[in-house]
Amino acid sequence: MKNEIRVFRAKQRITQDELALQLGVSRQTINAIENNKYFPSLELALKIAKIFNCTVEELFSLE
Amino acid sequence: MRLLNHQFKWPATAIFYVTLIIGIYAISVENQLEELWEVPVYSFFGNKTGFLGMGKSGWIQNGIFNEVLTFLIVSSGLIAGFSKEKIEDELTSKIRLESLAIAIIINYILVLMGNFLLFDFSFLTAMMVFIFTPLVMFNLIFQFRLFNYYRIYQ
Repeated sequence: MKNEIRVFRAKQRITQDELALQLGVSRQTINAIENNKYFPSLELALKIAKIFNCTVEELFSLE
Repeated sequence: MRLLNHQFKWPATAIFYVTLIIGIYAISVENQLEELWEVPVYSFFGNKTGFLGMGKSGWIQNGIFNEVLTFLIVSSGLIAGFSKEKIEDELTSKIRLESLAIAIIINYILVLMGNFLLFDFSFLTAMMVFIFTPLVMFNLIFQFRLFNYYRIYQ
């Protein structure tokens, strides 16, 4: 599975820290997700999509 | 999973490791500390043989040092392992559960090894130690993996 969180974050000029704060997770977790080392739960994926105002499919896709 | 408040984490961790060291010392001196703090306690299965070979229940004199130490090690170990991290999220929960699973698996591998390699009283001593090893390994593995995760993804 790959994700576009880094791209969306760059587009909206949000730092990992800011995103982590909005989601209530640690910055390390955002970093792990961006590096495909951790796959978030559906709840967290939906929250991330809501922040970026996009769908989960736009953020995450199967390789 | 419901966890205890983060404020319990570090006091419990400190008590856990201090009492654990005292416990290892107590085992190394072959329970010479067993007689410490002797008080009357109610025993459900006392020393005198009663009905069907079970011990008679009643009041006996017993050193409670071991009991207090066991209580402190187990309770502080549980509190340390199941208190929230500063930022508790789903990844820390995952690491916690995985660490618990690894600790249980390693413990039962050790139990199986002890089953075939240790006999008589050394087996009983090992079984006594195996009561504590899941908690000890769980805390060590969890802290190590959490430290690694913070280091790698900082």
